[in-house]
Amino acid sequence: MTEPEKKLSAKQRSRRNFLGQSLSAAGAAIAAPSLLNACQNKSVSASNALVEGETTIELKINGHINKLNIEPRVTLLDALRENLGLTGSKKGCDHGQCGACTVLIDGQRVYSCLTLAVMQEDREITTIEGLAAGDNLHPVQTAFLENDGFQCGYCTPGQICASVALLEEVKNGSVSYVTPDLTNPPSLASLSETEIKERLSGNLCRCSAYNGIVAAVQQAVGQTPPSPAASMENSHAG
Amino acid sequence: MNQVIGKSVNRKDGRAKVTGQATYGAEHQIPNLVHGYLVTATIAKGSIRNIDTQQAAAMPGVLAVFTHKNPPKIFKPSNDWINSKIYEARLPLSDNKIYYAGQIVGLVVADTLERARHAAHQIEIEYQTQPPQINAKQANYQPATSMFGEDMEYKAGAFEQGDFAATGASATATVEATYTTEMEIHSPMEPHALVAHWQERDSVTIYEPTQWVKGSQRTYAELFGIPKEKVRIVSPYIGGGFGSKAFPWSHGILCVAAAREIKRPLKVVVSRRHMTANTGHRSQTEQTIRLAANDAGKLTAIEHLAKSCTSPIDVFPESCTGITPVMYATPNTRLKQEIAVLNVGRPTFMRAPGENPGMFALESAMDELAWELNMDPVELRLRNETKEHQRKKLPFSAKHFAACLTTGAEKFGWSQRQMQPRAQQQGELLVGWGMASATFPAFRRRASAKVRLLTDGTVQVLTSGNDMGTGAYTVIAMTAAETLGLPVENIRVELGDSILPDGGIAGGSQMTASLTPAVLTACQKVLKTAQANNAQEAVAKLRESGRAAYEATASSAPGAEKKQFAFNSWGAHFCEVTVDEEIARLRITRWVSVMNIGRVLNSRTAASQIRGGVIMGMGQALMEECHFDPNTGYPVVYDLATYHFPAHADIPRIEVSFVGEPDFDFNPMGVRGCGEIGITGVAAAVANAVYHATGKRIRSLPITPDKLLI
Amino acid sequence: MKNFTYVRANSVQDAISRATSDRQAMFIAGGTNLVDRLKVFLDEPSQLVDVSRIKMKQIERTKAGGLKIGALVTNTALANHLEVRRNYPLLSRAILAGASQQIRNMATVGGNLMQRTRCPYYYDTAFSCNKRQPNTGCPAATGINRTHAILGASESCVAVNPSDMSVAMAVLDAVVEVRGMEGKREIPLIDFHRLPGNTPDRDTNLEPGELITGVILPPLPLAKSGVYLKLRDRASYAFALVSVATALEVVGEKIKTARVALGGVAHKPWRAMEAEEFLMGKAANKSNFERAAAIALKNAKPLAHNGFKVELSKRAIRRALTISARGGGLV
Repeated sequence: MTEPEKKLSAKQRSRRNFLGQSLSAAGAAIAAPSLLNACQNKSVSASNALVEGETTIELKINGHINKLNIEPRVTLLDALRENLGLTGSKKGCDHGQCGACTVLIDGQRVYSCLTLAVMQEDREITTIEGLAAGDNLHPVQTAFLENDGFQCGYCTPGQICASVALLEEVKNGSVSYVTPDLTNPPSLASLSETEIKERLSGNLCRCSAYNGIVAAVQQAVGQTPPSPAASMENSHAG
Repeated sequence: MNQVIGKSVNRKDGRAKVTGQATYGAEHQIPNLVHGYLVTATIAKGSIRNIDTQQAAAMPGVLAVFTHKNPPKIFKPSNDWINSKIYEARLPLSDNKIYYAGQIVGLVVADTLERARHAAHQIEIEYQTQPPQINAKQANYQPATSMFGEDMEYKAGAFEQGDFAATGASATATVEATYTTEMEIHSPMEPHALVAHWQERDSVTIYEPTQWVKGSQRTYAELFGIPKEKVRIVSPYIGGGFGSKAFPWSHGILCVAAAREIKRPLKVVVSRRHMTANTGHRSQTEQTIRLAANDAGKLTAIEHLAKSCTSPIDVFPESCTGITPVMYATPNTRLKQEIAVLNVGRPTFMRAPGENPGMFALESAMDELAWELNMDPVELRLRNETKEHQRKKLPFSAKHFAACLTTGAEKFGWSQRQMQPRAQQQGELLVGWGMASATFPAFRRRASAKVRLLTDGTVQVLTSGNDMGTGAYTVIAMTAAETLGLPVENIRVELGDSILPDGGIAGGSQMTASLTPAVLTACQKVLKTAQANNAQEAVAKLRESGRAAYEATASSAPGAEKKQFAFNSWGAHFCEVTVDEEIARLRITRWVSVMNIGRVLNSRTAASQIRGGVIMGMGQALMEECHFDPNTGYPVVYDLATYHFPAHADIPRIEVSFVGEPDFDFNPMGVRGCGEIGITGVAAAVANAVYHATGKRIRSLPITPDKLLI
Repeated sequence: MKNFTYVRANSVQDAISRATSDRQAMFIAGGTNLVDRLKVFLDEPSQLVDVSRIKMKQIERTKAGGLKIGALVTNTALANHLEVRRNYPLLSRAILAGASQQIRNMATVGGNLMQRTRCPYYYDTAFSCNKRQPNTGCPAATGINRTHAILGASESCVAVNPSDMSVAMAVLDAVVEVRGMEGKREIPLIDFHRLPGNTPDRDTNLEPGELITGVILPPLPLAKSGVYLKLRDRASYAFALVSVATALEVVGEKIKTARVALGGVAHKPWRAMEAEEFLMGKAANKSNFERAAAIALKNAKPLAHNGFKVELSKRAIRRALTISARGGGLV
């Protein structure tokens, strides 16, 4: 094992193994080799001495402590993507205007592009990579898969993290701009499509898988969403 | 009988995408990687008098600064669409001239993104400024020229048949109106980005989202003077393209060129602001339509004059009139397309280029004509259906446009519509119902795929074609599963790598129509090689043989059918809007789309494609517009806060249905493609519903609150 | 973004003294606006003083029966606080109308008051801008100004304040509590933000080194009838073209007290005092609401592209007052 690799957290190691296996799986095949390098690459900077202008911080991500030497101006999003190889959180706009970078901090959804990594020490940060338990997807991930809640996939980690938080917010009795009576927040069972859409409007999707995303949330809260499939009014036998 | 074709199947790439493991262009992090940040022009016309890079170059972590004074070596490509194609005919940093605001004038390379960005900001540029031409209304329009050869089926948009002028007097009803659309930006969620990694001076791997892997490979090879075999393009995932990621842009060329000079792997991510100006848009259009019809509601004449704008550095007409001879039977037709140059970046293909604004104008005018005739707009369209393509003089194959109209009307409950504006209300809200037709040509081109059957009964399908969210991974797997008689889970699809067989282009709605016939043929060849009837037999023989795999590569290409038929897909949209007139609040509340696209391979991903098109059309209808400062020519709409496209809250449930049978005249899979047709007609359906709700005919998009106040 | 040093303040006093000893320092809490601005070089601080860990996250009842809101209470926490939802529903609604859940989770009350205009000319250093750099000009005045001010603008600046929360607070008679080296002072919210005049670089009356520590809401029974109506180009996650906050106290058939403020139309939340005075003692009906709206907009000076805001504002006022007269609720 090389020096940099020793710095990898257990989570990152398991992630590497997962990717190693997925070399033969559809889709991930070509993606994997370069990602494998990502973890190695960025741990180098953690093992280096402090450069002027940098500071040493510890970030707790998906249950694991990561030590980093970075400049205070580095956003949490860039720290995840460029320094830690956690590219699941996406940079769509870098200005808090799209939601692709959404992660959970102490259970609350936030835009990781609008906060500095250095401000997030001692917080519990959860990214898309930390939602599944091993091979078992989080129910919201499964719901996105089954309801076609994405197309290109780029906004998807943000939509999923936002949806995971949305469920907790509703459980905790939170209200939204479209809640008719602010003293009577909706329950998971009574959560309307209008409520779901307002609460997820901070996550843009240009492929516009919006119907599928709303259906995925409906499934995750225990409602029965409409089928994502088209109605086939014809014979496609051939 | 179909095992899987036509069913609703989970995406093959789904697990990677919901777990954050799908890797996009900028995420291929290579050891020793450094970061580039673009420097762009803040004026729209003129030249650079002086560019001072000294301070930037001396900043910590900065490795190089490139400007027109020290451009990295780039060769001129043939740029002929066949061998190579770049978006901007002018190569980056080729001189000190400025043609549009946001034009790339430099690249700073540093060890971190933060340092590169900071240094880029420290570069001081002194300009010699000229007044820019930025106003489409005051521009100098000329007849548009074709940008393609005739064999590529694109025309400049001019066409004439019959005698348009002579028919005016005999008409019962006429409509003459001018419609405008604003400049729109593709705005894929994934910014334009790439990593260039030179192994030696003549061998490079480029990780870049591209809709055309092999075209990109050939183009970069020409740009850097190396054989195409020495260029590898890796593009397994694309975070949305919509036409803006088909060819190398200047930032990509510059990144690869700079990486070669600095001898380090280099990443360039175009910031959202820079993207607005320099990675494409759909031009604003102004279209004048004249329709004449007799008392039976039959069109007697159509005139369609369209204007769009382009950039000084390249020509791209938004060919709005292409749909006009396709849509309705008209003996007398006159079509004309004009174009003017503005100091803006290069416009390009954006989801249904031409068809989309063209259909807004035509389908709005048809609605106006229906009101003139006091005829149901569905009926008007049924009466004017054409069986042939009036420019090509060829019959359409497997056309079920009428079924789209009637099925859609049925599903929507159209027969309950009041035949007068402002007649339907819901409490304080005005309710309007509108409809419009949809169409998009069916294209296909030669494409190839390799299929390998392995001893464990799994199958690999390999091709350079790619999936930008279209569902290609899944429909390719379904095609192989169907042909071989295996479960979809057994099929592994690898896409988006130039070392794989040429899978064609994810553009023009043609990936599925081009590629799945090749997959079909390759699967059949595998079975033939094994002398087996199905995969089970083949696997048994394979195990006996001691070989690792049965493998076959096949191509499929269009042929003589193009001389016998015209191929188009068809559809109809029906929608409900509510208008809170006092506060100018417009909402789309219900939507039904019925499409005729030949065979539907995956009823789930196809539905998502249609919904995606419809929603992008809703954005065009309600909010999308880019504007430039009239004095400086610099954009004032330059990010996702100033350029609005729909959020969750804007979008109702969209009910999608498909009608018709497989179009086997088109290809052996019977599939025509559905990436673009969904957007066509959408804005017209909305505007028509707004008229029905309010009695206000809005002919200029987008329909923002200010326009509803008038 | 320029690099900077980063320190965590452990108390209000600590924060103030750091900011006082380094005039190039800036406070950061939620960061949702500041980090965004730093990225595009609108601000280039030498030092960021992180105040987010100071204990100012409480919402407490005041002796008078109102609420004292700590400056670091997040937008989400404030909008969801039961007392706010019950007694100041327009404040909840206004906050929830702003931005997105993610931003509201990060953004604080103090930061919301301090957020700066989203004028595209201010927001890109390619343009000159008096707000960014005094005496360089205002290209928005002669440029594309569809989203700009119709009230209270000056030749040097036509930008608007982007906050929804502040508009609601303006009708609630909120008071901003600030602390500096000289001690504590209170500024009525409607005097907290400034009109641009000749000094558009100054958005607020906060003095250098001063830190917002909280906002006080007095008890205001009529706030229960409060309405916040936001009109925009997108159904959610967009800044207001025009927004309006209203509240009414109707006794018998007559209006006893009225409150009207506009957002998206001026450099500060725009309290329409004259319209409020007009409504006092009048019947709560459409024609009076219409006249009040006309009074509120009588000094409007639209620019080339934002004339529609005048009419839209009037209609929004009319609608919001109508709903307030019915006791409030969602529009």
